[in-house]
Amino acid sequence: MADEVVPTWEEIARSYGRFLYTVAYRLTGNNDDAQDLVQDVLLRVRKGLGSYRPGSMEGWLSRIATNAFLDDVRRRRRRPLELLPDEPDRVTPPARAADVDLEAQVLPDDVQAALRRLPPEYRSAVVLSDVVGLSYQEISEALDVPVGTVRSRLHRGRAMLKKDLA
Amino acid sequence: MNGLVRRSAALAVLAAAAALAEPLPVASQEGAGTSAGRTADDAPLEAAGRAAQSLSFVGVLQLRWSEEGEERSETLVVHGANGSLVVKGGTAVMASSEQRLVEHSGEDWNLLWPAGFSGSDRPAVSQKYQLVASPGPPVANRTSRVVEVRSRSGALVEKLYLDDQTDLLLRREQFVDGPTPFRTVGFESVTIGASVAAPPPPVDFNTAAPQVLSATRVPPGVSAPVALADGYQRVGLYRRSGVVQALYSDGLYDLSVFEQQGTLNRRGLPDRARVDVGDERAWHYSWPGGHVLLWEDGGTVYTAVSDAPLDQMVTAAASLPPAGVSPSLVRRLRQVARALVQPLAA
Amino acid sequence: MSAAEHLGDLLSALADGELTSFEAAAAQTHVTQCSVCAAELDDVTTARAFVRGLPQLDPPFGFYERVLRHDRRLAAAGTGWKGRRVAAAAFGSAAAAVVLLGLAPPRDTPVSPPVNSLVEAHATGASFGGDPLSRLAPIGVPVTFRR
Repeated sequence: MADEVVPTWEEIARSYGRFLYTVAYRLTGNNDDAQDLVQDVLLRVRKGLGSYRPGSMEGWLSRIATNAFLDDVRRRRRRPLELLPDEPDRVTPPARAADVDLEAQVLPDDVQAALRRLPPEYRSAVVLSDVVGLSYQEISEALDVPVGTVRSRLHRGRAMLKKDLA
Repeated sequence: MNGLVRRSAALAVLAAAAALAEPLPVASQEGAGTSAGRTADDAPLEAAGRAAQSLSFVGVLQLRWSEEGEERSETLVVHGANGSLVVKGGTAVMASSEQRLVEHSGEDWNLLWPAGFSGSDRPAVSQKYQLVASPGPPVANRTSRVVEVRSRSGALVEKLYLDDQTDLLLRREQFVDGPTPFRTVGFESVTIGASVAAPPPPVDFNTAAPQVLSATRVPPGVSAPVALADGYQRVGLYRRSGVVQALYSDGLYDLSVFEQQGTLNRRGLPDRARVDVGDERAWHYSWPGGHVLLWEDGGTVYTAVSDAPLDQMVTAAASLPPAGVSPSLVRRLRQVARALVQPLAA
Repeated sequence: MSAAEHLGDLLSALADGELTSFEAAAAQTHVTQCSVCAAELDDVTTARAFVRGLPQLDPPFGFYERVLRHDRRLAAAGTGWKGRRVAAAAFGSAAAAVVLLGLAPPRDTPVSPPVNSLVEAHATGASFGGDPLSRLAPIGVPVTFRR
């Protein structure tokens, strides 16, 4: 059986670099941590570990990134200090006219800030579902939690976001 | 409320479609009885296991094994109390009631087996091996009893040195050819009955528990037959996120066959002589606890891990049905083949 | 309607198409009759739209180039990657390896079995039968299959 071509990190960076950085940024909420997370994904991809299952490259990369992110969250929970976020938190959501399209009024920065205020487990579910587009089953396997947990975290995350933003 | 999706019912439906969690039915009826009623000499490893989980002890273990033709040895510290024991070398392993956790230095503990995943009963050792007990030499300054384990043909396979007083396993030697053991694990020193505190359970750990698969739900494309050649019976079937593990036992040794679908990435595999497994050539690794065989066959990558001698592993591995062919299909093919050579009915 | 009869997170499942057609029909019927659930469904679909509307981002200028250059240098030197949040250089890093058992490269990417993790999974699972000491002790020696 002939050797198949394994995508190199260069190829991944060229074709999926923006995607990967975007996922990392949505998960971590700031540039420094996003860059660290991308490098962590590089290390894991380079080690060549992984079990085989059909799926997309975006799905695979976002799973590595999310698990690396949550591993780091667990490690940091043992440390007393939290890293300070880049952007200042919004204290109150902006006032808006009732008849204006809500989505147009809410800026991406607002959504990102609200995402960062979510507990990491909720944030992961929201990112994997609504940024990457994975199904509940795919998220369940990526995070190694039951589908019911995925649904619950996603729902609560979304509810919190809505409350925070409007 | 007609047509209302009741939350609990809907959740039950959704939960049933999610992870499987049925315990595997007992794979082996023969010899599947409890250990009660067997003496330590009939079931030395079970007696030793009970001792390890009930005694308080502290000791230094030495391992000696062959790797790529070289003799290697390592020392580890082990202590146990109140059903919990910890083995500590460069990596730490904790066995606590029915859990197994592993910690690599500098990292969190990984819970690999939570409670209740221990699989069904193993076959009795005496099904395949002969056991002869006799007084043994002192080991780690304790009087011992030695149980010689021999194959049906009479070849010496293992020597198990049990502590006379407590049945704790003091040393285990595996033999392949000749009187010098190929692999040894044994106490250099041990204090039994020391008042030792139980190893504390870890605070932070990652859970990497497997899904338990039931015998009737072998995933499509997976072989995992109920038995392998040479007396290996399947005692557990698990899946960790896509890698299916079938755990087999012949009563003395355990053997896992991991299956992953796809083609094998040959980059980085060791560049040395390979081992024939049936029609395939397998890569071989040695590790302190046994052998690893790695090969691919028809769209599946197999990894076999065992503490059994290599020739047993090869025989068992070679008996896996052809990849992608379900056991029932093999049976049907055999029936068709038989029918073709049957004399025509009158 | 009492709180126990509201759909809760099933509303997200409904919005995401994760219910069977029977369940979805029943849930949809309920939503038309229950203002609480209708409002909650609207909330989650709005929040979902917010997140779906987020743009892709570019990393800082030259980020990947720096990463690749560093990576090539390390690969040439044969040393492990050293970084703030990096797992142990040995192949058998348990946290990474265990987590990565859950990862799936696309169908056309060859499989690299995580041998160290499989050995640990086997030996710890096997230790439930017979004597745990002789089965677990070998795992105490860090496995380092060189690939």
